[in-house]
Amino acid sequence: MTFVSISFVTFFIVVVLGLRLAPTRHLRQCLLLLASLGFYASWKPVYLLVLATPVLIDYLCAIRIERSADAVVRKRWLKTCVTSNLLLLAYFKYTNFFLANIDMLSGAAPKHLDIVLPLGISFFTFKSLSYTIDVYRSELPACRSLWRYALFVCYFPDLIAGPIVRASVFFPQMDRSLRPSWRRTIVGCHMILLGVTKKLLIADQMAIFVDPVFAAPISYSPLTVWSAVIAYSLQIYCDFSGYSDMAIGVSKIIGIDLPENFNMPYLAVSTVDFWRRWHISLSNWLRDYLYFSLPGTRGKAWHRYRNAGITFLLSGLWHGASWTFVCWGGLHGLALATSHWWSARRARTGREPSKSIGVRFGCWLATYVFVCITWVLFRAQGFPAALSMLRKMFGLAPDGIAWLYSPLLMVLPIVIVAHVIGIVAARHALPTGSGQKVHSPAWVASFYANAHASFVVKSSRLSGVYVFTRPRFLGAFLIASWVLAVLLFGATGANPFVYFQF
Amino acid sequence: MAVSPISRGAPRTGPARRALRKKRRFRCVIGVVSAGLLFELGLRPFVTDAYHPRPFPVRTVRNYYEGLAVAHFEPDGLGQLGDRLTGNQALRGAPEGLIVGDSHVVAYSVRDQDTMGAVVERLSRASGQPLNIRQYGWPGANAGTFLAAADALLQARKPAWVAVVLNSYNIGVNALTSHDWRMEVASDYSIRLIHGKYLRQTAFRDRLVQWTGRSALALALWRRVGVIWSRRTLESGSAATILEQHDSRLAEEAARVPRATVLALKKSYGVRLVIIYAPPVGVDVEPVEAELRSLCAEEGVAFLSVQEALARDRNEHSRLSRGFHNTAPGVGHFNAIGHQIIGEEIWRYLRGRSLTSMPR
Repeated sequence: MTFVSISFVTFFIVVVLGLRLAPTRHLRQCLLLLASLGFYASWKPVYLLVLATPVLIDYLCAIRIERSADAVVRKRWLKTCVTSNLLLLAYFKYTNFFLANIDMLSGAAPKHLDIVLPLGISFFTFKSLSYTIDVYRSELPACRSLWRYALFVCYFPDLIAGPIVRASVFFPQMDRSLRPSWRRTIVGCHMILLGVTKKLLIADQMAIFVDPVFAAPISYSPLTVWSAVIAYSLQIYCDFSGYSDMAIGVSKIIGIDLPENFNMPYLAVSTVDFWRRWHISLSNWLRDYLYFSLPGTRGKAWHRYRNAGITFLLSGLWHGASWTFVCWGGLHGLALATSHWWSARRARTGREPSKSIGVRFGCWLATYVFVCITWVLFRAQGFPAALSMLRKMFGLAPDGIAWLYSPLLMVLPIVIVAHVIGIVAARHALPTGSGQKVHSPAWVASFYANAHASFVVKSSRLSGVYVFTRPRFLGAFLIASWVLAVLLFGATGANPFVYFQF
Repeated sequence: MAVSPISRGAPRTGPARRALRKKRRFRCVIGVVSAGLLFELGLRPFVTDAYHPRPFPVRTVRNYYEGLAVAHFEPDGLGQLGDRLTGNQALRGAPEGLIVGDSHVVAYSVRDQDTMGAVVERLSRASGQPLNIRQYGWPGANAGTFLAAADALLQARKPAWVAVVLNSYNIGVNALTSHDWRMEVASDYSIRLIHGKYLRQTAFRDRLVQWTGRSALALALWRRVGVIWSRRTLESGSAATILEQHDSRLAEEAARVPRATVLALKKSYGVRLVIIYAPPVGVDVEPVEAELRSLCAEEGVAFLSVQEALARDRNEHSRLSRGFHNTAPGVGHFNAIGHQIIGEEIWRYLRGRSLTSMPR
């Protein structure tokens, strides 16, 4: 049951009606928990047990940690919790990877266990872990109610592919009324529409071209391979950010605000900047719970660079049990460390970063090309396929089929214009001189609201999102056109979300 | 804090507020209707009603799913839509050849002058052995359809030769399970043709189809619903379930389809028959192609495979014979290159066997 399916729409309408009709907040919370369990069970009921494991372990460990005043005991409980969570993840996600490597080193015949990866395991274990670590760091009180904690871990909008929400953000919102309101529903629907557009109109359309080229890169010309890599950069962004938008929208209707996950990542001018804009909830998680936990992070510069490298190597491994993912993470770690080193060197010499448009454009181009090249490792089925792609991209095998994919040529200008409108709209939407940082939900919502000041009757601010509450002619015209465009030109095949595999 | 324009001025009274709300709703409705009109006008050059004959001598079909092309048909009661025109003038007295097949012959996605029939016509005329080609296709059809149409085609056109374009889809299990014409193959390879309606015709459905045919937007949405529904059906595994239920019986019967098809086609079309095999990918020889080749040799039926020509063109010129600028490379129907290659191969085959001068 994915967000882009009739079964989910039916399920969600029932949930919203139930929330609307339930008389007490307590009942609404119970209904949400039941709905979340039903949502997960619709995939494979037996894996509810896998979902229940971190819920029970982290719930009990957190209480033990809080109860104990002894630092050693607290640490022991934390270690128990972290180890059990990571063992669960390792068994389901990495067993076959480890077996394959052991077999390769020992020269034995390859063994493969028939393990089905539980949907969203990487996300819910990280969510659960962050809670226990926060309790250990005394940043959060332990949750005394098992069902409340279960709802935090199993909450269906972000269960499968994030955004990875923290307990400190989630628990206070559980005390809201959780009764869907008209205003929140309007904002949520807009976010869902935006997500569906990204998924069906861009990501799935790009997949049609990307899949065959990545399957047989040797057959295609360098230009075609480059265009497939650019198409993949759009596919993965629109697929994942589209999912995040839908999750945020669905959750918004329910009454819980999820954190933003993307902030125009392809406008980044360095890899550091890129990771501040891409999969923000994971980047923040890795920074807060892994990078800062590694020894020497607050010490020598060399240790910081090393730790950044380690963090990204593990981030690569988190994305997938394959050496191509590890290599992808390693390259990003290396780029990040280099970027930090360069910034530190510039700071030592007292030089200001250049504000020239040419330099910034060069930085942007270098970052985008680097990200695209690393996407090849991320997407390829293995190193031979990745090397074939890279050979083509660098002109080492110039022959091949030239294929011009027209939807890419149509989508590129739309994406560029949307980014420009987004930047302008986000600036326009913020109160002058507030100095407030522009977040992606603000710009995406304002994309069709505040950007068109001429027809905005009234913009109301709701949890940082500006919405177009009372559409007149132009608003209705734009939204109707938008819906029709998705209906007529969206891809029809059922392409699973890219991040579901993680 | 910014003051919204609504909050300025004196508060509105009940009737005034109601009037304002009414006005706003009216503007909203006008906005939605305008969007519909914009799409209606924008889609007109790309979407036309293909299935409902209008009082025109030529039926036009526009396509935007696979490339952008306009196809013309002469509705003569044969084929699903009639004769797919070649864009060439018919020559008086020239022998007539028929090309019969599925959606590859209907060829919505290529221009008239790019169809395989048009290529054969041009080549024959250039070499001084002029031919008139008529092309009859049925989207999604299988061998049963080509057999069912044989008598009507031969009586109406009296062709010098008939090229039946086949692929593994036409002579596989689909020939037994299709919703349109399907066949039952007995153990002695005799065939019983069964006609089943794809969708149940009802007065409401007819009215709905008539109505959608008048609007490009409605037609485009209707087709989208059709595509989504058919994919949903496929993905839900209902087709797989049917196959599983009858697996053993169907597998046995499906194995008999190629031979039964060759025998029945030979009986229906006689010496005028040429079986053309156009494989889906064209890189390697498929088992069904080898089987068809040996069956045709056994039964004395003219046979031509374009697999080698397609593969050669791909290797030598780095071109793909299938797919369009807005589809996956190498997937889908034959593009203009594919039609060109098939047309050239057909002509080479016909010329070599003097089939162009057969008595009518």
